Amino acid sequence: MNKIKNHIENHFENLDQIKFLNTPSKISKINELRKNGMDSFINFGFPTEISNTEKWKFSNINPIAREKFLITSEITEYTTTPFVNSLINHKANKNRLVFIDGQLDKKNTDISYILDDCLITTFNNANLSSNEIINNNLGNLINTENDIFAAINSAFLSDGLLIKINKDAKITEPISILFITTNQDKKIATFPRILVVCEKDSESSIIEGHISYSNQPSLNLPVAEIKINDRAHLNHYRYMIDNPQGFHIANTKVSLSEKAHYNSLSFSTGSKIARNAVEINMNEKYSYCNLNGLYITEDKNHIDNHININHKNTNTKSNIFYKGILKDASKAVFSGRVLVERNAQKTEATQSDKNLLLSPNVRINTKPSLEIYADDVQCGHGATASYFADDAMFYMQSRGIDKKTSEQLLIQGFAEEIVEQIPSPLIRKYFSDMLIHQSI
Amino acid sequence: MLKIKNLHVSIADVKILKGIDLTVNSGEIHAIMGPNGSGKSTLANVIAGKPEYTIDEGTINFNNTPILELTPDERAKLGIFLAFQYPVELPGIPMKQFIKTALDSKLKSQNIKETTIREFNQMLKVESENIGINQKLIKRSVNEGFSGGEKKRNEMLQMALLKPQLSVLDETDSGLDIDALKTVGQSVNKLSTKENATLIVTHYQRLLNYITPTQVHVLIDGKISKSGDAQLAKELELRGYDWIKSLV
Repeated sequence: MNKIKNHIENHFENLDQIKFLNTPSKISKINELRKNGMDSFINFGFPTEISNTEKWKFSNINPIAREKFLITSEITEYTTTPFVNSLINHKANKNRLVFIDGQLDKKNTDISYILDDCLITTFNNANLSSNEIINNNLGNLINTENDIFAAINSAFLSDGLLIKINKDAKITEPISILFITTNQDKKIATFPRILVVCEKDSESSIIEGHISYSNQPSLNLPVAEIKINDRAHLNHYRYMIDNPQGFHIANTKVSLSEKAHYNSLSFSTGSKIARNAVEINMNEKYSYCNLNGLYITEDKNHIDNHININHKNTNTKSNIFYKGILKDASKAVFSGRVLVERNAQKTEATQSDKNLLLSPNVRINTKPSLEIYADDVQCGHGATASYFADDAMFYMQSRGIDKKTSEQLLIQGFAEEIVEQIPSPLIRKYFSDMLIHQSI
Repeated sequence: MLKIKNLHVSIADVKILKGIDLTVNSGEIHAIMGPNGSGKSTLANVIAGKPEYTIDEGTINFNNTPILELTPDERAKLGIFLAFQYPVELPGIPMKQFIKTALDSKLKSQNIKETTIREFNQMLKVESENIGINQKLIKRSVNEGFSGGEKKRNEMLQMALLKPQLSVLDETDSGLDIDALKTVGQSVNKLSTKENATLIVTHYQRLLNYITPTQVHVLIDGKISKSGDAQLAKELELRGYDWIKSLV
């Protein structure tokens, strides 16, 4: 234990005060995950050494290792900004769970409207039947040996959230989960953990928001595991608005059963170093996933979207449509890998990543790739990076619209192509309002 | 209103316009005709301020203001409008927002109060019905997925709403069916008053069946080779551009 502490103490403060590290959970799976996660952390260390690997080729994560972070175990007094307030209290978030610096904020949480059709509980408050769901599902989609950040999340897993959508339930209003890192003059580390199980034939929508308005380097390492059973349909709207010094390394893992449908939108902005790793396993036939994403980088932001889609069965269909807007001296990475296994005949897969470059000092590394082992498939991929189109600028200016406004309209139009993919008008408005605040 | 003097223009070191002199007064409609590659579209684009051209020599004055140093939006605010030969698609930018932004920019530059959304919607409805634009198109992004004819009608819609002093139509008639051609003709005629002017750039005479020009100019190899009245266009239709070339 001492050796462990010495090693981890290089990166995290006040470990002695964190009770959960020495208190076993009543859920056996959580204890197992903590142990495995901690073992990996000890074996592989904080992720400086892995920067050389292909997986991390374009994202240097050494700056994370240079900081020492604080793990909090209770909510201290905090004040929000008007923008954060508007995000929390938006109409789209009527059913919401709010986590402040890693802890559930009961004052801001209200899920009373939707309890009939689903089960929502924190791991620590789970009853016996929920414990069983957690034991059966938690950790199934992550690999603590291969993915160091999912391992660190597991090592420090103090609590998490289980959402189970009941069989046949049709939930029209979204369930919002907001993880907020406040401005505490401390380098706060959080490890959000979500387990979503969509039972057969259910329909639901989840908003997962990560907001940091800290003035310090904050660390957020979320893991979401999502299991979508036969014919169930999930809309997953994920956003990250990170502070310019923040670090955000997220893992979203999805498993799809027969005719299951996963529709997602990912919006990321801010951050010193951010990575959204998404892995979709299309395990059974006729499963479908549709991933839309928008990233906006400015100043010295670095945002990396790392997507893996594994087609493992026949007649599965995937679509990736991401767009980036890069300003100032920021960087973005897009890596999309679609794997079509030998028996995944009649797969349809498309992916596209388009980037709008607003400064000569930005850098984009975009790499859509296909790995196909089946012979009867339809796959396509492409990537673009360009400045404003001259003909579009001239067209707009010839109508009396000045250069700055024309650029603004083109940026807005570029982003709108992603936002308009959101089927719900309410959630579309939520994201539009968010973009307006980002001057998009 | 528009005075072009000794205009020489090149693009990527290739000379396109080789000394154009043209005066368009209020209340006039001028047609610039000529074979492909004669520099017609270049002339239209240079008046509107397209940046990729190099002005080697000459001046363009609009209401006695030299405009060659002005940006395209500054020229538009003075009252110049270019209807594009190939209107540009602007994905994600809604028609209404685009046209209202353009209209408000112009009104603002003239110190006129911007239109309210209600007023604007009313104007848009009336004009788009006049021009025969499907209301569904109004809800789409600018020109996105529009047919060729719909794009050209959209140019006429913007022209009708922006009410320019000088309208420059760059081969607006190309690729249009008879109905759309008629709409273009009607739009120009409707807008024509004693206070404004139109410059029609065209390859064919057929648009001039609907619009009677005050003057017709024939552009050959970057120069105006012949000018005349509406009769000249009809003669060209009969005898072809080679006839002019043989006169030069």
